[in-house]
Amino acid sequence: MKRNLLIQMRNEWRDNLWLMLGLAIVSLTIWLFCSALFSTTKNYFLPLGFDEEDVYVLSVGHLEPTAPTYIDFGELTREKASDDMRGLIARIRESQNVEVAAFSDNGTPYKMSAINSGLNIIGEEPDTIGFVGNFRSLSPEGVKVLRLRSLTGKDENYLKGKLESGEILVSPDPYWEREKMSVLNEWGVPVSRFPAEELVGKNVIMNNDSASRYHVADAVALVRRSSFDNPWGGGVILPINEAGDICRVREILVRVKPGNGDKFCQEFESTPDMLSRRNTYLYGLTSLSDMGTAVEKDDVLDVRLYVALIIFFLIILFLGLLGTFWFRMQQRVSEIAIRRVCGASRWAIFRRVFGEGMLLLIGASVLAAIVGWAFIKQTDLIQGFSDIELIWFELATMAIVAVGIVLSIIYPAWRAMQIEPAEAVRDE
Amino acid sequence: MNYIRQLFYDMRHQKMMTWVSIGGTAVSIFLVLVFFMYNSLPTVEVAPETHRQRIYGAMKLYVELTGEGKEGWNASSGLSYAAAQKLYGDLDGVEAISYVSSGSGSINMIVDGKPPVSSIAIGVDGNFWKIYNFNFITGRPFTEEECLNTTMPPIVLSEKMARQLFGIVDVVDREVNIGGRPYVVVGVVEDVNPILRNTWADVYMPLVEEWRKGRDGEPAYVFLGSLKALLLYAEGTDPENIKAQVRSRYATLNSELEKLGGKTQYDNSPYDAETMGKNSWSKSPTVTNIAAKRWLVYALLLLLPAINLSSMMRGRLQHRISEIGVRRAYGARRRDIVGQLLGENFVVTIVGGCIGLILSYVFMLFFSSSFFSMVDRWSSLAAKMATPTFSMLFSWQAFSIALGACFVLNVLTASVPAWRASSLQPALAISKNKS
Repeated sequence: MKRNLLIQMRNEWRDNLWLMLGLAIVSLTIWLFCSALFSTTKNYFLPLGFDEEDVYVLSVGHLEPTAPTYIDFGELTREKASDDMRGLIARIRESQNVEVAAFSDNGTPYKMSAINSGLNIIGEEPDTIGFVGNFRSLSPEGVKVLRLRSLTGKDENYLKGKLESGEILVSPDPYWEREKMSVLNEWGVPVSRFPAEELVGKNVIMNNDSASRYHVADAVALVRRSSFDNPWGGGVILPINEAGDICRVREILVRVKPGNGDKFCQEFESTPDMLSRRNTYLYGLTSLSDMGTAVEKDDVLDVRLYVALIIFFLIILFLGLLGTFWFRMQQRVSEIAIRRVCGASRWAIFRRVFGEGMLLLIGASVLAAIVGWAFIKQTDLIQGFSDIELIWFELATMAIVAVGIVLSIIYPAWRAMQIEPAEAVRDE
Repeated sequence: MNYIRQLFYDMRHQKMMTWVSIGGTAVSIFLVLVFFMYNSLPTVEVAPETHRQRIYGAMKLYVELTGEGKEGWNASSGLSYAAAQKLYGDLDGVEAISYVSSGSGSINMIVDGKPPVSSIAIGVDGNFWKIYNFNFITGRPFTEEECLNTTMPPIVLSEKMARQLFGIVDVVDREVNIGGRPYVVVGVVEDVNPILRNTWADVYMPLVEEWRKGRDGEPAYVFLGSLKALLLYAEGTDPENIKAQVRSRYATLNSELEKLGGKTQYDNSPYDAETMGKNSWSKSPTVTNIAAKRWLVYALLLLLPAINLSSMMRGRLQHRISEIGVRRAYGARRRDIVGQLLGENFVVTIVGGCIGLILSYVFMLFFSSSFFSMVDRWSSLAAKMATPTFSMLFSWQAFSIALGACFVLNVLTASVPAWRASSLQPALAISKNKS
């Protein structure tokens, strides 16, 4: 039976070659889209590290000295601006709608810039051990606003208290475990990096600068920039001292009481002493989840586009195979009838048609794998994947194309199954 | 006429095949057109960006420090007013030049002590209104002299923003407070679609002195700032001629930078609309690369269905082998047979193409914002929901592409099977069908 099928396929080699070529091109195209899809979504399922629900972001602005309403405080400008900032956040905290509010400087998710820097443990050889993380600054209440999660089981009040006493928090690099990354020191010697948890309880210095010494209080889950972004290292949360010079702090984060978001927005817009103090003003009230939706929109669109294109190519494949197999079944009506007369069951006929499709899939996949591999290695169309990952994408592609083949030949095969021998050979 | 009748008979007789052929063609043409329309959005000429093909842009400057202890330090950002003028001012073949803020920003506007309204603003000079054709509902644009008015600078609002702030559109001479400074409204323009990245804003602010300054810190960074230059080329200007002039201006700037402890590199600017829309911040975008990838996609989108439809076409012709044999026996030439088969297939392709064309317009008008990113990555969610208007999509090029794609698809699909079918000897063709 199998040999018979191969002989039959060889007899129709010209048609089958075309079909395999079409399948190979579709497979290759889907392979490319699968890898692009994976590249975009690979970080999506990692934890975000913060709770965006009921959180609002306010930007801080300062009047230009040329503005008519600008008050010139001379040497006291920074001090007065810091006082105004404290006044504004105190007024926000007074609101019945607000649960907690904090200052943030490059510590607001979806807006954070990558500011990578290294930490070294005091007393240990600085060139043999190190930790690299993105630096974020939050005032102590920020722990409660973003609901940071301790990795050692500590509660929010503990973390807040530690930030109040000037200690820092660190977050692990999600890729550390997987890739065991190493960095090169200034002499080009590989320096091993270690998980954030090892820093807890230790005194550290930043960038080998003995002037910036900190005590690491705890490890918290990494606050990521967005669901799609590559974390590029761990995190370091530095405390903002609310009583100090805070005039350059750029944002205020507000956690409102559950469901009170709209009320807070109305209150904020209609309360002048929440809006500005002398030269300092607040603007751009946005919910953190809206900000996230806007920032992630392009990645979401990419994902949709890749999925849509895969579906479109499958439709084209489906239509092509459906048409071809439909004709084949029409051409083979008498052949199938004779098989049935000779004792072949309906399922045997179905299996034979099905087997033909699967053999085509295997042939096409081998062709796509050989051509695709050479193509991918020669061009820059797919980058940043290991060979193992590429093989996984190829297998995923085979599975997707197999679904397309099954769907397209199931109807013609079913029709072939239904052929009545006497009816089919009537014209012979 | 007989051919047409025969075609319709054949289509009715082979219903499944007809639908599959039309469906496959429609999907293919749909994809080609959607891809074409999306790619043409950065260059399509609609108000106010009616001279897009002639407007070129220079968005940034790269400065590397050469001073002792600072070798290798570098920065790349927008231009300062001085740098923009030195590099792009008064070039031969340029009709007008406008200096505008390199990005848009969120500002708060307060009117009559009411709650502040957040809006998107861009800073523009007086020439901005000359290179773009804004439709002023009321009032007028501001001039270059007015831009430097420090007591009461002028602003232009979009219609939507005028209504949001004042409830009406006729708001000329009304006062708006932005960041503690009063501005006077001199005009209101029709809303611009966010897809038109160079002109979309809620508020058009004058390019005041602060915006034109160079960066503080390193002396060589004085040429870095927050502006971009938009150049309207005169009709018939050769872009390469402008680039040659700019290249020599870069050499002059380099000698000035050398004294300040820095150097720069020519970045192939000014860029055309397509490059500005696609790749505005890379160091030296190459259009050739973009075009090559685009042709690859077009080829793929046509080749895939062509291969599939071609196998079907071959199967379909098997049914007509004896008919072809009889016609050949009665003296029909091979080219007659091939012509008839290609013509028949072209009709099917055109029907599929029309369906694909309609579907592509429906998709682009209503669903494109759910699949394509058409505005800057950092735009607001509202801007990201923008879809193109019909006038942005309706072009003879789209129809030509549709027709051309149908033709190519037809030739790819039907020529080989038709040629092979017509090559059979009449006697063999007739007997083959009987075997």
